[in-house]
Amino acid sequence: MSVQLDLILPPIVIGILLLLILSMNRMMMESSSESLLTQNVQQLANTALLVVQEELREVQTMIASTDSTLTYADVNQDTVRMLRLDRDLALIRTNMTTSLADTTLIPAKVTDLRFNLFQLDGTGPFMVTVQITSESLARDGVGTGAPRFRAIASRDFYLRNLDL
Amino acid sequence: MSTGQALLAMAALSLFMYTAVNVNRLYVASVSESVDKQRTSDAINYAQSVAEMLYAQGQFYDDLDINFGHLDNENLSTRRLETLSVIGDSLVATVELDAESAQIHGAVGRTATIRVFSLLNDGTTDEQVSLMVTLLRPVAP
Repeated sequence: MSVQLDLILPPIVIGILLLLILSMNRMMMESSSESLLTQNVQQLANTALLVVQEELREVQTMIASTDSTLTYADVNQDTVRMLRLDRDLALIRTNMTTSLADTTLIPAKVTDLRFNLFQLDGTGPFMVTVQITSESLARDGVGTGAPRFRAIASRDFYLRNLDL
Repeated sequence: MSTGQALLAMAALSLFMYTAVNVNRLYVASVSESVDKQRTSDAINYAQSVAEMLYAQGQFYDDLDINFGHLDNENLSTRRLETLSVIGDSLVATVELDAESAQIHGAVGRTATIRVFSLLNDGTTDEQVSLMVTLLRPVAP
């Protein structure tokens, strides 16, 4: 019996050790990948917010504002609609003279886009709160059934060129 | 079991526990890092929101001290701005206004330093999370 154990035990121990080492490597790789994904969605959300910031500098007349869509006329009198289309931030610009619509899609993995137009202190200058949620997909991660990651960027913007 | 075997078994168990603890620590560190990044991002965005609020007061340039001069102590609720971040972290901001001076291209303006801190449960603040310095100039009404 003892002879058989001596023969069987070493391969089992080595097998367990190999499994342990491989599992650890897998976990470390998954952890690195998750960290990278989190950083990625966070950067996407913040970049989308920067795009919104640059667009909002040109708002001259607010046409309509809902929770998820902002429609305004910019300083060139073009009509711009800002909304989420699928997983993109969409800017649909309609030329004032030709009435042709030009759509710009910002691929920022957007799953939620919210606007809240308000006046500072109730009666003061107009500002808008923009909140962008970016989310990774399971296929972006490593292995099957990888978790999804979400990042949110929210900021208030002063509509400095708005005509009242 | 001989003493040698017992010691070997204990050594193997210790090694396994050490490995398991380190793997768990790696996971916790990874999650903590992700939360910290979101927190820092929120703090930077809040500092920029406060800056936008200051820009919005451009036409009340002469009243900057009246409107924002008192926001100079992060530990007193009456002397700071407060908000709840998207991840539920309480953030507070202070605004430091420098005296009016000549800025770039000869324009006159005031430098505002916005500091954002994380608020602890006891009402005091943790370390500074973000800092933003911006220039305020008078705007015609």
